[in-house]
Amino acid sequence: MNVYLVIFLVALVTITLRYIPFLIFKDGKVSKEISKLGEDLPMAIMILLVIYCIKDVNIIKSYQGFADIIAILVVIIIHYYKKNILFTILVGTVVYMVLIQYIFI
Amino acid sequence: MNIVNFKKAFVLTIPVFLGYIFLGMAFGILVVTNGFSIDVSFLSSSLIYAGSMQFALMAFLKENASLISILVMTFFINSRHMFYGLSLVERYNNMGKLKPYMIFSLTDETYALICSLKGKKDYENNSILFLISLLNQIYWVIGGLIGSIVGSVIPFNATGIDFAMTALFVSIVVDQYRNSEDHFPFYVGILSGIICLIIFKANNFLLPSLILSVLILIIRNKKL
Repeated sequence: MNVYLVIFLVALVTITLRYIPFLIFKDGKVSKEISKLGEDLPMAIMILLVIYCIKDVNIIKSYQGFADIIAILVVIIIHYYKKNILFTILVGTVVYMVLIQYIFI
Repeated sequence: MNIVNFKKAFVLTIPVFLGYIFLGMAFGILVVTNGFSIDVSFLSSSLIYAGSMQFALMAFLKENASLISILVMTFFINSRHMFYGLSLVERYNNMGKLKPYMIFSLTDETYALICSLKGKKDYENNSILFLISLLNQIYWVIGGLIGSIVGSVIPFNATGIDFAMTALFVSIVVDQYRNSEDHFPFYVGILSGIICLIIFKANNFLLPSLILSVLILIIRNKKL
C-alpha cells in the first residue's frame, strides 16, 4: 500500500470532518438553537478535553497518576488567583515534569 | 499583517508551542523508528494535521491495516472536529480568503485558543486568528521534522513536557468558569465525560460524550 496515498486520503477524511458544520450552514445563517449550542459547546468540550488528557491516569496501578492530579490542582489554584495563562502553564508544566521525573518515578 | 499582531499571536500560542514542538518531535521520532522517511513526517503534519490520528496512523501502517479500516478509524478518531466548527461558523464566514485554511487547521488546541478569545477585542481581528492557526501548525510541522532528524537522541529529559497541553485546557476551563454565569455546559461536559468513560472506556469515550453533551444541551435549550 502506498503510504503517500494513505496520508492523502486520511487528510481528506479529516478536512471533510472539519468542514461539515460549514457546509451545513453554508449561507452563514445559523438558527437560534444552533447559535446557542455553539455558545455552550466550548465549555463542555474543554472539560471533555481535560478528561481526555488524563483518561489513562490510574492511581491504583501507578503512582504517576498523582503527578497529574497534583499538577492539575496547582494549575487551577495558580490560574484562579494569577489569571496569567502563560505563567500558569509554565509553572504547571515545570511542577509536573519535576513530579514525574524525580518523585513519582 | 503587522508586527503587533504577530507578537500578540505568538504570545498567545506559546503554550501550544511547548506542547506541539515536543509532541511533534515524538511523532517525528515514531516515523523514523517505524522505518519511514522524513517526508512522511512532513506530509502527515502538513496535510493531516491531527495529532492523535497521526500517531494512530503509524500504528496502523505498522500492523498493515487495510485502507478501508484506516479510513473508518480516521472518521471515528477525528469526528469530534465536526462539532468544533459549530461555534465558529459565523466568525469564520467573515475570514474571506483565509476561511479554508482556518477550517483546515482547526485542531483541538487551535479551537481552544480561538474560543478563549471570544468576547475580547482580538477575537474580531482576522489576522490574529489566522496567525494563531498558522503558527500552531508551523510548530507542529517543525517538531515533526526535528524528531525525524534527531531520531531518539534528545539532549535533555523532556518527559512530561506535553503536560503543557493539559495545563492549557485546564486554564481555559478556569477562565470559562469564572467568566460565565451559566455553568450548566461545564457540568454537562463533566457528567457525560465520566458516564461515557465508564461505559466506553478510555480509548473510545470522547465521541459518545460529545454526542451526549450536544443532546443534553439541545434538550435544555428547547426548554428555555
